[in-house]
Amino acid sequence: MSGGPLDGVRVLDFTRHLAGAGSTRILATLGAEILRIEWPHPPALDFLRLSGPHADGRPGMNRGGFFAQINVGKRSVAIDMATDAGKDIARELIPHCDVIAESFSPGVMKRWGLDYEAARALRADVIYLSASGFGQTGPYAGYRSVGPTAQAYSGLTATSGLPEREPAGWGFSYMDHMGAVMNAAAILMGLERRRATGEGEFFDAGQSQHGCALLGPMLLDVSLNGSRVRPKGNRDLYGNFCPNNAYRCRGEDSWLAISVREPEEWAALCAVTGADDLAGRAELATLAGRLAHEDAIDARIGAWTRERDARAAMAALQAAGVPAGVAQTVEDKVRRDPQLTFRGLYTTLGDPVLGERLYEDAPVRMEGFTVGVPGPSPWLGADTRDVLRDLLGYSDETLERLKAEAIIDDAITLEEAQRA
Amino acid sequence: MTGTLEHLTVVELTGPRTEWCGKLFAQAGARVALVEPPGGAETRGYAPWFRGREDAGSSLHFWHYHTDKESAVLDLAGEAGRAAFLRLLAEADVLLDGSEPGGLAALGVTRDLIEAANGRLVHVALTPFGQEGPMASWKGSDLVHQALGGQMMMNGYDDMPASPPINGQGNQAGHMAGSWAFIAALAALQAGGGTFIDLSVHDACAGMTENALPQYDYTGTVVTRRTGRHASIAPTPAWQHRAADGRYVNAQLVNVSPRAWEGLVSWLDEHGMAEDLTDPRYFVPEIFREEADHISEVIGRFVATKTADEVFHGAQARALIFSAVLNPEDLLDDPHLAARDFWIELDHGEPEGTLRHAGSAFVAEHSEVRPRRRAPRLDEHGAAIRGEGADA
Repeated sequence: MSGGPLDGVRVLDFTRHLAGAGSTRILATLGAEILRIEWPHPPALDFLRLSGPHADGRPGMNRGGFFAQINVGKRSVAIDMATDAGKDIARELIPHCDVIAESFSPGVMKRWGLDYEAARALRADVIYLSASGFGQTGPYAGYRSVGPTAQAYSGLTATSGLPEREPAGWGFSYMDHMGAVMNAAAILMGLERRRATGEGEFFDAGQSQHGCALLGPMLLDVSLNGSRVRPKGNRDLYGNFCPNNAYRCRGEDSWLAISVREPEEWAALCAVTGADDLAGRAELATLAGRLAHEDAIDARIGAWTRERDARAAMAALQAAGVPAGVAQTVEDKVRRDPQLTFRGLYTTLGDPVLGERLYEDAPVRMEGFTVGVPGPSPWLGADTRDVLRDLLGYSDETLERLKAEAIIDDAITLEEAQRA
Repeated sequence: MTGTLEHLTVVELTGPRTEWCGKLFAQAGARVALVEPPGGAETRGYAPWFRGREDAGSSLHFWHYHTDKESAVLDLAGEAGRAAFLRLLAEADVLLDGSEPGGLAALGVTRDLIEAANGRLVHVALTPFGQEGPMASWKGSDLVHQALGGQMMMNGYDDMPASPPINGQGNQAGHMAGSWAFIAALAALQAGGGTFIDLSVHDACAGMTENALPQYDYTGTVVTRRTGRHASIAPTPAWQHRAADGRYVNAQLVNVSPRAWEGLVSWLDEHGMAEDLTDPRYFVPEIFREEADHISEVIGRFVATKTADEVFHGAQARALIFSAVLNPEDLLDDPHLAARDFWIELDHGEPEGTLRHAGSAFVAEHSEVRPRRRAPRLDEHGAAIRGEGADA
């Protein structure tokens, strides 16, 4: 039992970008076999292949670092989906696949004759995920979305920021990550239901709707209390923690987050920061009492952290049982986080085009199973021949003919991969 | 329609870390038995409160995360509680364990006992930093995890000197980790279960900072936060603009197709606000990039004359990926969410009656993922779960 928990699960993968392709990345780290259908030109091109950063700063289909991060361990099958013959090959693959995942605009797969109805006629128990910005139905079904769109629409953007300022913006595509996570969750729910019932399932996922569902208790606060939720910086939106803030430390742009809820945490915070006078005030031992004096408490803690190294202050507070964490950059996480190093979150993989690179591993350890990044990302078309030969029984002659007709492509030599 | 996972039974030890994962199971129809300590779950004491009622039965935090679950108080420090807990595990598929590393074993519920009770059980241990390691005993919080995970340092204001990095609201660290716990548990079930999953909030958060790692790994540089937009290595043009109604619009210009650009420029031109953007030189990608600040300023001046909704829908009709920056309350009467049945009614009994809850974002064809029942009162299902009154 040394394989992944999803060993034997095969996915026909038409997803793109992070919100789509991130979901099949998750399945790949759990052992699933992912067959990416792609092509160097639209409509089956994943534009992420052209995005930076690039190996040696030179763009190319197999040189993109962000694409490589998201497509680890997948297999690439290059088929020109603009051709009828290409669509036929994709249809031939369906009976061999447990899962189909796609993230084109609504309607594209149907035009290609590859929508759920067509697919289930070829494989009755297929699990099919259509992932889009706003879903397949509803008045905004045709709307386009990237991470920041979904964050803005869902209320996640509006609630993150300093009071009386414009929203901070989140700073990255959180909903591309969480869209990918929710899409992987949907596929797994489908597989689990198939395990119990033998039946297939279709999921219509909208990245923006998933954003709304992630607002947490704010949802009931607006619906049942009629509240207008507005940002409070880093303070807890509902006062469940106090103090709860990011405090400036010694050095340039260095910050320490501290959260306190329990009386013993407050006592420990006062002891570590030398705030004996605050520790002695009975009203501050309760959350409600501290919330009434939050400005003054924040000022006292800030004065203490301002003179201190953030990591030393974090270690001192955690040693005393106070939740505290440095606001880390990616460099901090890679080089200065002993726990991430101990856990092996970053793993190094070699690729002749990209070189030795860092990859984020799955945050899961599962006893008896191998979970994690299985290998580098595929060169475009690297697996075309093997997949079509092994699954569909195509002869070398057929493969050569299809390649000559520009229906399929491959990348079997390093020289070809470098040049693409 | 039946729930997608209605054949599963999940035991959830209460705690702020496990509640989102438990909700993902419960809304899909799984039977989720919430095991609460004497005195109740900690998050029964979390605000916001239902209409100002600050009592343990009225936490909207608890109500939100525990729809569809059953509640039983079990004192795991006592022999009877432990025995009832192990009986419960014997018939379960998944244990969601949010206790500190070694926490269950310290109460006398060792992994040997758990495995003896049910060899097929998927035991998901969700801790702040993992079971072992130099920081395994450290404490986290939503804020602390978004700081250490790298989310905060990418989010904030570059036009405001010495301003702090900013966290995202809504318990997102718990959502990142809890969603992964759900994925890992379902994956383990595909292989027959019978495993222990060690999952940390810190790992889950640290792996979700988009392009930051490749940027650093390939260029040696670290992205820094920018007001209202993505963190980046070099400064970028503003893409968040204030509309005439005081709300904001996210007007990101990435991968703009020639058709979308023409649509945008002609839209501005209809209002006499296109300025020089009608010049075809902007179709040259290098010019488009060089003039990005100018383009952003022209769009900003246009947005300032329209409401945020006018910009949102007008831009989307022209194949642009804009959105109004909606406030949470705006979602209540959003026509798209209404058409997709996002909001649902749940019966709370007397005195609350029927109340409007958020549903789920999962839309399936042959089964259903949506909450059906309000969160349980403390120990509401305790007698049945403990086997009181039965032969056990």
